[in-house]
Amino acid sequence: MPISHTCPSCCAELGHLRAVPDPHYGLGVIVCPCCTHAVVRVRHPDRVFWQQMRRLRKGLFQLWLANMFTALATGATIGMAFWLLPQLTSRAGRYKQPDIADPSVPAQIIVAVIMLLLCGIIARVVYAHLRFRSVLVLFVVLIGVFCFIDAIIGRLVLFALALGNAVEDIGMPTALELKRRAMMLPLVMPVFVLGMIAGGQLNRLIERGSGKRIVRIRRRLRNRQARLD
Amino acid sequence: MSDPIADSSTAPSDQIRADRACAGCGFNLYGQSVIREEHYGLAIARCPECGTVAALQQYPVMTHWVNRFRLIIGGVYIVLLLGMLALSTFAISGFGIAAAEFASEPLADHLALQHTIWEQQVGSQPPGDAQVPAPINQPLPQYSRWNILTPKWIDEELDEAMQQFGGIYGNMNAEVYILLVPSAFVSLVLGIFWSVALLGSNRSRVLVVPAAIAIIAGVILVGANFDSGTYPSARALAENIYVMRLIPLLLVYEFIFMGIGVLIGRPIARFVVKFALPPRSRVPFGVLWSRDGLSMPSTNSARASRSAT
Repeated sequence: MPISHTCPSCCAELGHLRAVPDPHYGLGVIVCPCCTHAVVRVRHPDRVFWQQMRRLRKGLFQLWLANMFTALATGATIGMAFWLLPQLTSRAGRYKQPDIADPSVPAQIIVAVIMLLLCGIIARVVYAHLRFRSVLVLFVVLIGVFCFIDAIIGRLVLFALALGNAVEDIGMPTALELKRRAMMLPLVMPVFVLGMIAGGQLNRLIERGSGKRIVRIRRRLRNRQARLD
Repeated sequence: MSDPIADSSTAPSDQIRADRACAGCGFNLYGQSVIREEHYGLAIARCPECGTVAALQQYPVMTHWVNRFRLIIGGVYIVLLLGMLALSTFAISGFGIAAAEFASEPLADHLALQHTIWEQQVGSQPPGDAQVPAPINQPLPQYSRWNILTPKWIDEELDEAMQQFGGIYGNMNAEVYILLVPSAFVSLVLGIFWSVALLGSNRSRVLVVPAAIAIIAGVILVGANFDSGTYPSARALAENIYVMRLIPLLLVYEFIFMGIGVLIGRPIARFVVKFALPPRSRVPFGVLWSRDGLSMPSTNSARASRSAT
């Protein structure tokens, strides 16, 4: 229920009316429906302060949540990609030997695919306010960078060592390893993109549900206002 | 006994149909009749619980607690910033200490070796005889960079030992260059933090903080290593030599990266907020845009409707 606000002219209750910002000063003005007296709604400073603090806290929490989910989706996708490739290559190797071939799809691969779909859904739901293309570019860049982060840091260290004319073996990933990682990206990204498409649909459903709820609330408020009038 | 206000009031014209707490007892005055008192013509309502009269047209009560909370939050923020300043200085100094330690290892080994050879020569030399040259093709004696150097050797032999060592920069441990990578990253992150934390200042003024951090770190490190004592170890003496030559360069390098962090910090923060939050949730972070004279980014639909009109 809104906070009470009475008309100074006729004492009518104006709390249910929405204050419209006037075009000149930006003040919230209400015109009393009974006596047409214009009243300015002044918000209590205590309330404004705590409202601002609450909004800031909520915004920071949302920011943290978005970053956490981004890290989770990126990390899980990279993890699944790292885990999936040896599984698939070992299976491909086994297929060449008909004696030990196992044509059933192992449960691990199904779990990995579900996880990748879930990551895509999370990515799309968290970044529902962005375009599909932007989210895709963001995650391709993030996954790409974190897949090769050790190679990037290694290159930087080698560059730094070269400044001192020193050459050291710092355990860089081999060219074959980098090639395998590069192969993993086209392997996992289609599943991730499918998850993003599913996430988009899910988000549309959520928005439609919240839209219906808003319409319901507005109708209820309208009915209440009509009853009061 | 009759109530003067109730007696002087006119007939009820309306009722309170929203929330209004009684100033006396906090009771919700919802449903109470609004009456116009006779003396001033003010609209009032009476609390049914405690009988307090509530004036309905009034400026909201201004408590001092909002300002007190603002003061408390401001104080806590300043304390946190001071703590962060100390942490930043420790981080920057840490890289300086590590660099001096890494870089001075070959010089410390060289000084310890020369001192050990000199000690053996002095020990084997009969008293009063002329100096005997060191025998060639003899295995190197056992030495450690923690060996204590005597003042006599420092006075007589240190300059010659330094000449034998060659260039200070050319012969330092090359692993010190690895430190350039993490120190650049940490400096960049610190610059970004200070750029966002000090939103009250423009970016050129924020640069004062990295400069202060670098100066404080320099003063602490150079001051702490200014004198290595009368009986220093080879390591302490070598480190002392490198502190004076290496740390100013490293601090300038770190200051450059902190400066880059300060310059790119706010655009990065704006990008992260714009990317991670939907337009409604960005409102509390509007100061990131307004501070630099920019307008808040609008949604695609708002932009489209504006261009259509």
